[in-house]
Amino acid sequence: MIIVSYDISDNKKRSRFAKYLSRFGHRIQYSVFEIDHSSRILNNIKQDIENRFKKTFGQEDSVYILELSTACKITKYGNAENKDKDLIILG
Amino acid sequence: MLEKPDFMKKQVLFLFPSQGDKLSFKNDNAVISDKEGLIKYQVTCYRLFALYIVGDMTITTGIVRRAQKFGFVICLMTPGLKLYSTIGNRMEGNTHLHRKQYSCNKSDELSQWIVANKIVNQKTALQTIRKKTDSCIEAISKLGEYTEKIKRDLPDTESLLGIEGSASRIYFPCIMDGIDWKGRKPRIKAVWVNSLMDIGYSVLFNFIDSLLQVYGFDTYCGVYHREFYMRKSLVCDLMEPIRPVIDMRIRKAINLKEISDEDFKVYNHQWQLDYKKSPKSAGIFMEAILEKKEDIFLYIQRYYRNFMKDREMEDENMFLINK
Repeated sequence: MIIVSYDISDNKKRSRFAKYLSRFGHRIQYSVFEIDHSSRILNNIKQDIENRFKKTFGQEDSVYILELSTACKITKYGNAENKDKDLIILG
Repeated sequence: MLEKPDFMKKQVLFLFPSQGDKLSFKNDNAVISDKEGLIKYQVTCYRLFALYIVGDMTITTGIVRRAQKFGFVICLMTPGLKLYSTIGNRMEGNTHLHRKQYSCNKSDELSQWIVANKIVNQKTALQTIRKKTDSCIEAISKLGEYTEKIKRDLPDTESLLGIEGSASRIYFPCIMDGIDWKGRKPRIKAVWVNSLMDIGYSVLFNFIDSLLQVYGFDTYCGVYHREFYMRKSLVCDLMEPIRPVIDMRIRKAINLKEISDEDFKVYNHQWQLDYKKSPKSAGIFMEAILEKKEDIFLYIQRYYRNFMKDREMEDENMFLINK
């Protein structure tokens, strides 16, 4: 799994990047995407970001790609806790 | 099309809304808010498989659009957990599959496979009973004979109905042994246990229906259950082998006193589940189904793939409750 967190100043660049990421993963916060795929596809995505988007990022932008393994510990609070349940009953 | 790793991450959400509750979306999250607009709950649409709304609430066109986009179904149910509508069918237009369904000439073989699978699971369900009575031991043996008979004689649909009926007649008294139960009478809620079974099978029915919609099946076109106007015969067919999961869960729930007749009320000689107890019942059944989530998904997936490729349905394609 990879987490892509970005802070991009240009609106057009930011939405283009978000649209690209939403093809493979989903938004977990405003500018944070979670992409959970096989290592082959994740490597393709990282390479694609390197080839297509890296050159467009400037000093006013900040992008993090965090690679998580099963050994990584993730602590969740708020509605983030809801993601791990198979069944949710409300009422 | 949905693959197993994605399906295993999917969630089911049961909503029992209060007065004034609203279902909308925000940043691709499904948001449930109260009448003051305060967010009660939020969950990402990406992970949703099915959203069951039991009772009345306001929903927005935005969430309906997201149901289509993210491929989850919104099931609308009465307070008695009876489904009356669904929004957001998944795959429409799988015309190749529909043509194969309408021209299918293997109904007898498929029906034999379905009924044999059901009886295998009924036998397994009885084998899980710790203290078996003599009639239970005899029933287990008899059910084994019925599956052999199906494989040996390859009966037509009419004969299969007889075998299925005979199997059920010896199965139900054993699985419901020790419980206040006087016989399986579907939809006639003269006894609370029958009403409970109807609810359990209904929850299972909706889940299987949602899964079949992933592949684009015409769920009204079955192979074993006869086609009736507005009856989803294919769902009835493919849920048959999974029914013992519900039966076992009912037995356990009653023995552990998780559910009793006190959770029901009698209206017009019919036992109806008290609305306040609906979340507990729905949760009990859906948890039992989701425990077998992976096996159920693979069972439907293998059915789809073998059906499309005109392959025989073998024993290894069956859904087994003790796998």
